[in-house]
Amino acid sequence: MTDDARLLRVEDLHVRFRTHGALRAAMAGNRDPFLDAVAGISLTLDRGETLGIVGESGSGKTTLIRAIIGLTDIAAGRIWFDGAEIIDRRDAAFRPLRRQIGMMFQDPVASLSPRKTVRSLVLEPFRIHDVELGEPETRADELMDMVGLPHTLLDSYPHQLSGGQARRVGVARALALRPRLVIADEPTAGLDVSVQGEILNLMARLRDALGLSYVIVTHNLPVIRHVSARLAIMYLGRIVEEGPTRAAFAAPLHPYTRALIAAVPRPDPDDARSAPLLTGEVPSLRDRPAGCAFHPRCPAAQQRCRVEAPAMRAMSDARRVACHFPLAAQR
Amino acid sequence: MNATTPILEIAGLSVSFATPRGPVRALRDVSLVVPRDRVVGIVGESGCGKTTLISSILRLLAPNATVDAGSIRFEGDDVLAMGNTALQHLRGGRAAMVFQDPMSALNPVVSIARQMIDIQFRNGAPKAEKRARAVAMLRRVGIPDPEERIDGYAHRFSGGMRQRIAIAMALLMNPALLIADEPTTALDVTLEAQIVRLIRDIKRDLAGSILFVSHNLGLIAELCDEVVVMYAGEVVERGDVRQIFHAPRHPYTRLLLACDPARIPESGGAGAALPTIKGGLPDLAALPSSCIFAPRCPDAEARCLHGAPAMVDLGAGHAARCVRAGND
Repeated sequence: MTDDARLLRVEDLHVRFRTHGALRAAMAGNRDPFLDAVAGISLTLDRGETLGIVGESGSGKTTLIRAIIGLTDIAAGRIWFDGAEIIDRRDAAFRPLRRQIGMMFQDPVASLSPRKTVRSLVLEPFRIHDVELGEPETRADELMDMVGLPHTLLDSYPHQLSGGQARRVGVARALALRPRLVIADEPTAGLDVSVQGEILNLMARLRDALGLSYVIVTHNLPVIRHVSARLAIMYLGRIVEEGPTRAAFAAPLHPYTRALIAAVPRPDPDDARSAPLLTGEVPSLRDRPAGCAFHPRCPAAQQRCRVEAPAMRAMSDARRVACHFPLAAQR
Repeated sequence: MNATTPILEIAGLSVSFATPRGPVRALRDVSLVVPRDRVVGIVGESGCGKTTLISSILRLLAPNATVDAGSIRFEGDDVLAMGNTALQHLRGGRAAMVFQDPMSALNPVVSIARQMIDIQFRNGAPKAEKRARAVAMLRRVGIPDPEERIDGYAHRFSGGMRQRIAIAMALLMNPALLIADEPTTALDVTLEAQIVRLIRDIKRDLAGSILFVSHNLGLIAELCDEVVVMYAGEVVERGDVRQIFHAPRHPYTRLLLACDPARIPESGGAGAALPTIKGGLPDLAALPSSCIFAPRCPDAEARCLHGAPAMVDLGAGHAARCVRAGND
């Protein structure tokens, strides 16, 4: 095994959704009845590392992580976890592996059953995975301590929790079975700024204490800048840029990365936005533009971008970009 | 009314909601002024009273709400004393609102054209003229091919486009005040940037003031001339946008600014702890007798625990509700 440091490796992953049935597809002529929500993604995650995956709505980031943990079927591609390839995703075979991957879902309140108490919710992973619980009371107290919630909340129901508390219950559930990898989908969405720091600090503390690795999916660039050392930017189901967070912010390679960073409003009335704003919106996956998928919105698009899709290529300093004319190279 | 009358003047407004636990005092002694041709931002976190405040302005409060004290004047007219006709005129013409969620703000079963023509019902012009105005307004907010697309329905438009349509509808009656309640929260950042730029351009072209409500400090800094900071139902600080961002005097404003990850110097993912505000919101049904922020305030001293502080005028329109605001 050459990749010993790699906890997770994803190679050329495709997730395909059928948009209409075979009959309708035939009636509509030869229109492709599928769309690729994830269209060839490769990535790796080292032990103890945090990878940030950033993209706008429709970029496929949630589909990507659902495919990794087996909630969505994959059409093509391979996934390795801890050096072993995940082949059989049927329940009995996948479950022991799945136990090592914790998931924090996007909407903490909606992801908690409204009819269960917090005690029942934090202990649910043990029941689902048939793991020896030991003393349930002790276990529940331990989990509450771990995420910094008072034990008095154990008998509360999700609707009685604040957004931050519900998020902590989500952390407790994700970590209950001591996973090695935690995948967090928008861990700070909907939280006030004074609370989102608490959740991110908690996640960082637990990473160090328990030796976790994280994949954090978000559209929030200011947040990801502080929590992950490496970043992958997604656009229409593909990664367009990947590399160290610091380098990506200091000198983005892909025009889309630059536009995303420029679009973040500056909390200073005397610091106006510099770069031009992107025009238009993310196109529908049904009408993926020919050539580079970003070319209709790209301020630097040239003829080649309209016909030829750029391949991912390695640049210096562990950076990769899928662009015919990367920005730093022009300077 | 003359040219110096503010568009909106709220003085000492207190609103409470009747609940089985007793009155929840959602707004207490809130004062703010929206002058003519200005963009005033209201910033605050969940539970600060932003939504109750804008509902009060349009008299859209829930039936269990009562206004305990204070006044709301719209171009000099007493909103709290308005009858139904005057209220309808206020809601449908003099003030317009853009809501947070563009997905639910438009009627899904009525064409955009019909909605945009209907909203001009006070305008006596022929229908063709109203339609032409609607098309022109859609073009103004950046909807491509408005002549054809106006006959479409809301589901044919993306979230960003729907918010543009909502803004176009709000502007059709030339309102004196446009209230925008978190208008970009549901949008991606590249669309958010486009909508903010649109609001700024509109401000330049159209007469009228904007009351912009947001929890996003970056948007407030970019768009607003004046800022009102709210916490747990009170205005804790108000001032010119530069005063608030460069020389905040209330501890809550300072902490809120410090918590914004966009203002924190880059840590390169090293995992440095992010700042937070300790504690949680007070129970508005059982208010403390102290300063409302004292339980969470890192600078609280003995006098902060005895009675709520008054607003301290710091000059040049800057004021903060803190006993230490006048000190350095």
